[in-house]
Amino acid sequence: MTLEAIGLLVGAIVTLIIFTYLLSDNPLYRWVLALVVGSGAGYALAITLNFLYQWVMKSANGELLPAVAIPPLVLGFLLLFKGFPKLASWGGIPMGFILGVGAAVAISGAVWGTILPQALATAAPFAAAQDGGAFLEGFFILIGTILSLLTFSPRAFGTHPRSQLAVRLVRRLGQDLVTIALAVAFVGALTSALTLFIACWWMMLAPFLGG
Amino acid sequence: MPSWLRHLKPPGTSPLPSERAPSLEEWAGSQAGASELDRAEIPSWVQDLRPSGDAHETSSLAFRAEPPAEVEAEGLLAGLRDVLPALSLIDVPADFQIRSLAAVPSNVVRDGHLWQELLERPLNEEQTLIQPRAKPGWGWVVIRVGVFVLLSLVVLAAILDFLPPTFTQLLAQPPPPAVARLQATVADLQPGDTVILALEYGPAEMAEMTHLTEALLSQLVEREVRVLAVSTLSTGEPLIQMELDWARTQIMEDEARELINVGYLPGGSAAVAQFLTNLESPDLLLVLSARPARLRWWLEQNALLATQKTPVGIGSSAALGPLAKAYFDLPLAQGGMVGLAGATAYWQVRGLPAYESTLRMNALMLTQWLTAGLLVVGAGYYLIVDRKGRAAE
Repeated sequence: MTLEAIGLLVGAIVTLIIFTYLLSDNPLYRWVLALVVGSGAGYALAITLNFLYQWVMKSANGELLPAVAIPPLVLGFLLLFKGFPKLASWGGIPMGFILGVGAAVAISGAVWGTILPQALATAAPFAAAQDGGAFLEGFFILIGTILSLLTFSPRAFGTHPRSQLAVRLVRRLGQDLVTIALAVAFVGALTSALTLFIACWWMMLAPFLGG
Repeated sequence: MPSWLRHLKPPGTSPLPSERAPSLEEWAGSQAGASELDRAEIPSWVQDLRPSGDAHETSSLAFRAEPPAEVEAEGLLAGLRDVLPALSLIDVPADFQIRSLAAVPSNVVRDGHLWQELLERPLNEEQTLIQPRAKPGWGWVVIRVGVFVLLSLVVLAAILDFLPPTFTQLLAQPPPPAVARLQATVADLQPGDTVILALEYGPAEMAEMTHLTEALLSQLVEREVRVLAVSTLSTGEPLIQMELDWARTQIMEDEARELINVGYLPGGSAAVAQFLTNLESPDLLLVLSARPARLRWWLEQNALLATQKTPVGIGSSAALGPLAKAYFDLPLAQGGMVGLAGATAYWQVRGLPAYESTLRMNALMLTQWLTAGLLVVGAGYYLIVDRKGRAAE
């Protein structure tokens, strides 16, 4: 029996064990879950250690300049102190560095890569004023965006009863739009799950399908 | 001056002054002289509050008179007068309890108990095992198994190609414009161009995402471009290798292609920024992602780099579709595809037969219709049951 055939057999058995959850929670199902989570975590740890080992070896062989190699190693070593309550404050130095750099990169990226381009894309249909269909589409997109954003506004606009009624109406419309967006996301997640379900059957029937 | 204090006088010091403290009678006499002062007028409402009766007719002097001196009977202070009685100040009733005016919510108390229990638990104590979930009733088991059987039958009918041709023609859909744009962009690549292929999915999403990867890789190999495959997931490296191995099976023996497994890129968005900065103007960036954060990292960092705005093609899982589609029309985006439907459409646009993808797509469409039908039936059933339940109440 080839290695591929063994893998296929093990995969089929594990898949069937997962399906036993349909009947009830059982030890075999839990064991397979633990196997998946544990093997994933173990593999990730091995990859990380391998990466670290290569980094150290490159540093030792002089392939990396000391100015490049030493700071990450020192910061990484300091991070280990997080595991000891009395020395945990030393681990705060690399944590601050990681969070600071990560936040700076992420925020600038979000502004230039998501917020501004998507705001421009929302307004883009209005540039094609001759195209009535595009204009209408852009109008609905703009109204939908504004209503959805207003849903998350914590302020009440004014205290007059008419103003309160308008606020409630706007928020209700925004909530409906957000609900539609969540429903679309649910359909996407369901489609992914069904695709994986089909893949499971495909894998189990592969020997009979000639694939 | 008490005699016991006189004895404490150090020898050689000057004689003590002859003055002495006035006695109680002398002090009371001096206070009596104060009665010559004008008496303050007491308001009528205060007068009403005065206790009535002879027993309470006491002079102001009587109020100022000291209470009878108490002499300490025992202990180190025995014999001393006017020792403050301690018990009268700190004594509390035996049934004394602090009562708060605002009641503490029960959930706060419960959380407090939980935290206290967790924090005070010794480290060497055996951990509480997770209790098994409550077993579902037979009704639930029947529903679950019934849904599973229905879905399985539909999938089997589709992938074993038992569906009539007229039925499959109904399921066929025209390819979306975004897929056609992406295919045209890849088709425009010239031999030797550099393409970054970011594979951002793990083993759990591989069954879905591999269709997208294979659809793109087959055309990249055909265009003879240089592919740099990379992932910010630690499990990405072996997945990349599997995909590149598959791509090599599409190459003839006498052909040479540069398919490089760059591997794992640790460091999150900062690592992506560094990777893109160090490259010499790639011709196309293809991001195939099933993780929202990682898709954003690549798209945002690519947009952020002002010097090289590389065109981007996007591929995402169906679950990530709503997020990914928001990026399809951005200035640098060259279209994209979502899920198995997108991959099937990509093959369709290329005009290549994709028998396996078509079978899977048929199965997906059927299961989607079936799921929608089951949801409607379930919603209707619970709507009726709920109405009956309310009517019974």
